[in-house]
Amino acid sequence: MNFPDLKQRKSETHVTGMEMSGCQIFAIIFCGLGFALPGYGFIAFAFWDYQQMGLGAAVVIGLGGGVFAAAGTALLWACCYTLMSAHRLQTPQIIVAGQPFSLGERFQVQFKQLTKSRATIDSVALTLVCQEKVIYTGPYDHENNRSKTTTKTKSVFSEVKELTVPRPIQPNGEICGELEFAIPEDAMHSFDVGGANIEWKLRTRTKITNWPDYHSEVDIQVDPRSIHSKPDT
Amino acid sequence: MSDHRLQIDLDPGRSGSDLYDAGETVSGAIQLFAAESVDCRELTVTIGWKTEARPHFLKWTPETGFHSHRNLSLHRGVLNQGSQAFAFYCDLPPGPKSYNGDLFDIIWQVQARLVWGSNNEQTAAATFHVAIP
Repeated sequence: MNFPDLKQRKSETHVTGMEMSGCQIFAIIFCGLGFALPGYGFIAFAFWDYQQMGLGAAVVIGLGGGVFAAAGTALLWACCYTLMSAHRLQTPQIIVAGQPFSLGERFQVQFKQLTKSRATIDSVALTLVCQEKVIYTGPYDHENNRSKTTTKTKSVFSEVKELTVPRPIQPNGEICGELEFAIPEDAMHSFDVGGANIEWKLRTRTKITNWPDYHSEVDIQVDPRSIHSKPDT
Repeated sequence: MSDHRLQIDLDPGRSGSDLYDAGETVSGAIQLFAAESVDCRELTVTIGWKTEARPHFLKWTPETGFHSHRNLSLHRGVLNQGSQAFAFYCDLPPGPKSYNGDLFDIIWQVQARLVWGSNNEQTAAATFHVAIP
């Protein structure tokens, strides 16, 4: 297992925001409608069947339609939520200087997010998270010619801090601020062997009054090195 | 020749415990008792770590396993009857450190493997802990 050299510290950070490409939007809406329309159709048919023939087949058809309708509605709702969030705010610029970090190290985070239209900001919360992730392999799926896998994730550390922001903010206005976080000295460093991972992330949540929240996250690299280690170790 | 005894004795780590600092040296000896003289095909020691995940509720298999850091060949040839010791040492890498998590653990081990005769094999393992100094 290789860990990056501390001399190669960097400050640029890739932010995963809520922007979606046209293809992604089309795919989600297409799938959502593909589930929702037949689902609601089955529910309507079940209702008609119930009026004509009473209970029986209507229950089964209604339940099946309900599952489809719920899945489709959830997809369409998620798409609308994401589009609405990205309509008001741009992807934030988050600068985490000095990565990779040592255990016990304190670091500064610079946050900057521009508004696309007038928005009343309730709060901006940044959360430093350490999470465990394990991949499990299940039975072989003959249809897809590969084994099924599932990922289990659990947060083992989190620290939330809030930025003080002005409200409301005009179009092309700026939400910005700086916060300090610390990696606990007794925490686990970043670790990735494919099937079992320890990931450090910085998650942001911008709350807008009467509007969906904007979420984004950046990866943080924590080395197996204590802040008290000698420079040459 | 079934009466072989293979045992791993680790030298004490930090404060006399089984805790070693990453980047430093783990050392010890393989204690071997041979009931009779035999032709040893291989006596190896592997120092490494494994990830052990909590069981899945559907009994799906976690993608975890043993990751060898160093593989040392200690002896090949005739093993005399009686007790003998084979010393070994190995520099530990900077990480990962030992970990006891909610979903998985990281466990450092020294694994010894003795192969003799046509296809006889005996193994032993000793667990130790690695900390960030």
